Amino acid sequence: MEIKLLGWESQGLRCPDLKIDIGTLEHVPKITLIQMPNGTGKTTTLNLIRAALTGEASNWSDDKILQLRHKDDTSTSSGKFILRLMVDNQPLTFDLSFDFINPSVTYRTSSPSMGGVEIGYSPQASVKRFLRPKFTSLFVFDGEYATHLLNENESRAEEAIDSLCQLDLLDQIQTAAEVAWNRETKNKGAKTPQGLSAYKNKEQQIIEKISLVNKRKKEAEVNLKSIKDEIESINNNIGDKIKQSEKYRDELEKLKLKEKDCEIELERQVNAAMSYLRHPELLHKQFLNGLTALKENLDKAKLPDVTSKQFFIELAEEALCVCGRPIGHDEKEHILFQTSQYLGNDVSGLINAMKQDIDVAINSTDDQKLFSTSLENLRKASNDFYDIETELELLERNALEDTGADVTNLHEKLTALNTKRNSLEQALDLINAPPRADDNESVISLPSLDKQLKNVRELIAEITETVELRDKIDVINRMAGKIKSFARSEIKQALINECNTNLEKILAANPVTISKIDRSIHLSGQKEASVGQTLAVGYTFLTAALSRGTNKFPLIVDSPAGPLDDNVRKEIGEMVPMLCEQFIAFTISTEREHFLPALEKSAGDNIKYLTIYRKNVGTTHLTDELPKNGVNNSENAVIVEGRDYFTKFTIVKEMEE
Amino acid sequence: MSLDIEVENAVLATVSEFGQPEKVAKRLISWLKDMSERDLNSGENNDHFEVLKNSIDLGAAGGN
Repeated sequence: MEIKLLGWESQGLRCPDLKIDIGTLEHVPKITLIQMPNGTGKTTTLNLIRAALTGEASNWSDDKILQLRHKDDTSTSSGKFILRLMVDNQPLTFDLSFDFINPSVTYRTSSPSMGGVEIGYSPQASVKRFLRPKFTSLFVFDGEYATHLLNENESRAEEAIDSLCQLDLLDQIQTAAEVAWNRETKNKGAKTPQGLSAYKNKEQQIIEKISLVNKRKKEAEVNLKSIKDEIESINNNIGDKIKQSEKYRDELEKLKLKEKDCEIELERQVNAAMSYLRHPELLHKQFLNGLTALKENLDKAKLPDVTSKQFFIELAEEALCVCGRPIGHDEKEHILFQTSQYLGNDVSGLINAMKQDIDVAINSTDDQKLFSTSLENLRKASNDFYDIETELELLERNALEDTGADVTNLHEKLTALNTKRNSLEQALDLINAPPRADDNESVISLPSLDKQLKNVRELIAEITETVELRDKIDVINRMAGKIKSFARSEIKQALINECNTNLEKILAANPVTISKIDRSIHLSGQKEASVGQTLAVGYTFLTAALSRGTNKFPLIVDSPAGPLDDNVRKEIGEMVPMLCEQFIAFTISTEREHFLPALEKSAGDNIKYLTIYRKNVGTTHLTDELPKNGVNNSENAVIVEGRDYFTKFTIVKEMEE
Repeated sequence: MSLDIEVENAVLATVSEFGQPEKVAKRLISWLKDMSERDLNSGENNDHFEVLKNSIDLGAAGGN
């Protein structure tokens, strides 16, 4: 990127009203010298140039804005400053409008790439990055900045390197990494290795529990089978022994047949009773009374017939309403819209069916007696079955005793085995029970434990991914930090070498060497430097730093040679133009000596000479000495272009600032 | 704006010191160059980050 300054214009401000044309899109001189006696507004102009470049005037206080008002006419209500640039051969203009009544500064930005004029400070992004205040202060330079570079309590030197060499891009990488972290972990719980460890412990506990429960399950199943086999064996044994008993064999066979019949009858009566249970009106009179009352209330409310949605849908198709009025388009639309308030066919049908069933129930009062009879039959069948079972048990006992078997022992054994069997079956039921929402960690249900394991493993996967992400971000952050400090260190050393080479030439008579650059520039063997040395160090540092990379910036300097002695002026004058594409210097007449010849030697005739002074009582005498050509007058200033006038210009008495 | 050569050298040296694969350096340099030439929006920065993150080897020396 290449930025060049084409000129500016000021109106109604503290600096003189003038229009400065430095260059055009076709040609920009290498050097522009603007000679302005003290008090003409150099400092104000530089501040305005900085403000235009950075957009910072939007944040100025009222006092600061009012200080820029025309100093000879405080009634001025407004002012203007327009800065014209060329960025990669395209024009870019910043227009600042000052309101001194309601103190404010308004920007307008214009360039072809933006399609014209935009309200506000809005250079394109690719340019804006180089117009930040910290960056701009590197190329809109005054002697004070050089002092800051050598001030141990400040970090301007390091900031300049970070800005010019774009080391702050590494900060942006770290920021992007943290933004990604925050986005990924926004709604997640544990994100740390400790959280992960806790969940892994839980996972292990569940795995161990599942293993234990499975083991118990297998044991229970084996035991249950064994017990069942044993019960069956005992029962078979009992059965075999009973069969051996001739005395009781026939009777037992008859009783078994009877038992079978009783069982069938019992099942039949159970089914019959169940079928009656589906008719609550048959269970008790109160159910019937309740249903009757329900039907009566439905009838009273005329449900569902009168309010049927279907009724209204069909009505909407009629030409005449039930009241006799015509049903037009609007009426039809309204009826159809209102049908949503009424019952649909499905609900209507349900209510009608329910009312019908209640009617049937009311008219079937005789069936209540049938239910009572059914219950009685069930009771009888149950008693019969119980009696047969008891008789059978007694007969079996007698038959066993008859064979000499220890019946009591056998029964005790059977009872104990059945108790164990029940206990094992209950335990297996618990182990095989499906998961429930209220299951906690003490549950022994295998399906529930499997579900818990699945959940904790999903959490672990999520956290593992998060922990890995954090680890990777930490690596990236550490690398970015290391890259920044390593690059900074190498760049500093390169700058030190280059600056010292130049300083050797510039300050041959009064040598100074840079020993190191940490936050500021340190000189070998001295903590402080003269004004001239400071300025020389500042120039060499900035031009060396600015010339790194392929970007080109103008160097705009206030009083470039004032404090420098003759030799230093000469060296600076020869060096500076070689290190930048455009050099703009605001000078006073006393800086010309030794500095101007050196500049001209370096830049040849590629120099623009401008002289500016205010129109006042103290400069009236200059009017007679104005050349015929190259003179521009504003209301309060004179601008003269040309080398001759520039080199001869002097003010007998310098104006006070 | 092209990337300062010392920054590029620093990337290569640091990635090597961290024992990370070469592609980490390439992806870092690509990201830095892209940022140096234009303003990236959050989506573009995230794309670069994802590509860089996926190339990081946590098992490498200096990786942890």
